[in-house]
Amino acid sequence: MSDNEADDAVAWAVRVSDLEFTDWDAFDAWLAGDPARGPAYMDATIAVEELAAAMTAFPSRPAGLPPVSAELGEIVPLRSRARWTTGGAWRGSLSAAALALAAGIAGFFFLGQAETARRLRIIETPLGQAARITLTDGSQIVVAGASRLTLDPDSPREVTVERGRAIFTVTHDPGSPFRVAAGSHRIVDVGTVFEIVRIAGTTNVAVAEGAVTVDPARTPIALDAGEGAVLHDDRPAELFFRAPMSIGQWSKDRMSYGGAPLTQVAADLSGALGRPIMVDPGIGRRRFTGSLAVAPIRARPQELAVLLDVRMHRDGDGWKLTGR
Amino acid sequence: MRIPRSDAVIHDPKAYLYRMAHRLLIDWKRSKRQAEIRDALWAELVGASSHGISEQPAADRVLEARQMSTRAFAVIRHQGERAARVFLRHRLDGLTQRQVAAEIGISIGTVEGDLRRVYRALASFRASFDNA
Repeated sequence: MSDNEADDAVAWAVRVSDLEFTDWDAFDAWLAGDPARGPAYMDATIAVEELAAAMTAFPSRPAGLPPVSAELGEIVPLRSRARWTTGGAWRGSLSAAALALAAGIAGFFFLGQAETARRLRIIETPLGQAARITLTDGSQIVVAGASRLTLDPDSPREVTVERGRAIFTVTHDPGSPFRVAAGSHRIVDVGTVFEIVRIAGTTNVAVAEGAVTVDPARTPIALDAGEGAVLHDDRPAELFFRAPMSIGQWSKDRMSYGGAPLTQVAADLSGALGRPIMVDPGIGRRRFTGSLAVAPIRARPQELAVLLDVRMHRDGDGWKLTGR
Repeated sequence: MRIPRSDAVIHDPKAYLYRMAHRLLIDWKRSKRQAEIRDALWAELVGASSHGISEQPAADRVLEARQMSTRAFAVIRHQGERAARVFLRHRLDGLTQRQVAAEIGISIGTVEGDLRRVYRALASFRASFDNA
């Protein structure tokens, strides 16, 4: 097989892999021209196919780092232990300048000021409802259900993630870095999009755009777009890579996948719906290609059963997906 | 392989059929290939007089896939930042080539060129991985 023929095979592999490709007649005609072309095409296509599957299942980490015990490529859906307590009517003493809502995400709750010496603004979302918050500087935080953040009105670019999941879109201000505290960890950012997940004492940071510095006062970790870290209190952090736009799928109003494992889809849906969606291990590796609009699913979660071709039944606060 | 619900409308039946046939063929070829590799490994291990197919232990396959993934990411990054981004957006995040072109602000032709470069690199990486 000449180099040109091999290049042609690659060129066709590229064209055909696009879901919008429709020129099958031309592809047929090319294949028919030489019996060696079929196998060459298959080799190129399958090589990329298998590597893409491996990369989806196992987002990479740099060599030389300690192995992770939890496989971050398969994000375990958060099972929230939070209980929304209404102890009396919630006080809506918000400063309109500090907090505003974007349209499209209904249902948010604010506790009034905490009974502590420092007057903090607490954002706590109930199970099943997300909130989008815009800060005075224009930064945005999308908070998943069953999460709790605190803001300090005296330090507008400082936020604490106590638990749950939030995506930060931070406006650029080099004179005033945006700081997020999660447990004993500090994440410092100048202008970026990143996600923080904090559950049961472990914090995950993943960067979609820009760069953040984690724990600058201890062992600083610089994370670029597409990189993330699992932060532990008692041992060194573990780095990982994730395709940037897979970060925060759950916060968009439409989630798109090309061959993503069901465990990933379920994890994103858990974030979007704010309720845990568990996947039976037998079907966890099944691939999903398609696009899910979040609002209709939020309104009628049972439709997921048809969309994902699974059986779905209630399980605690959320659902469990099993094979048909 | 998913069959659509009976009330779904197929926009372009011919293209849909071709796409489904292509998918089935790829999946069949891949499983056939994996069986061939297992057979060859087994034959190497125990000599040609042996029969049957060995199952590589599940843990080994996971380790192998993980290693393959780590190196594949490195190979991709080595092709250049834009080409890497184009590939990841297209193949891992599921955007069409048109969407990737629009998102980055380049032509579809440039997207295809970047993808060809990455595909070539991944194909030769895969070949060397198999032979290792």
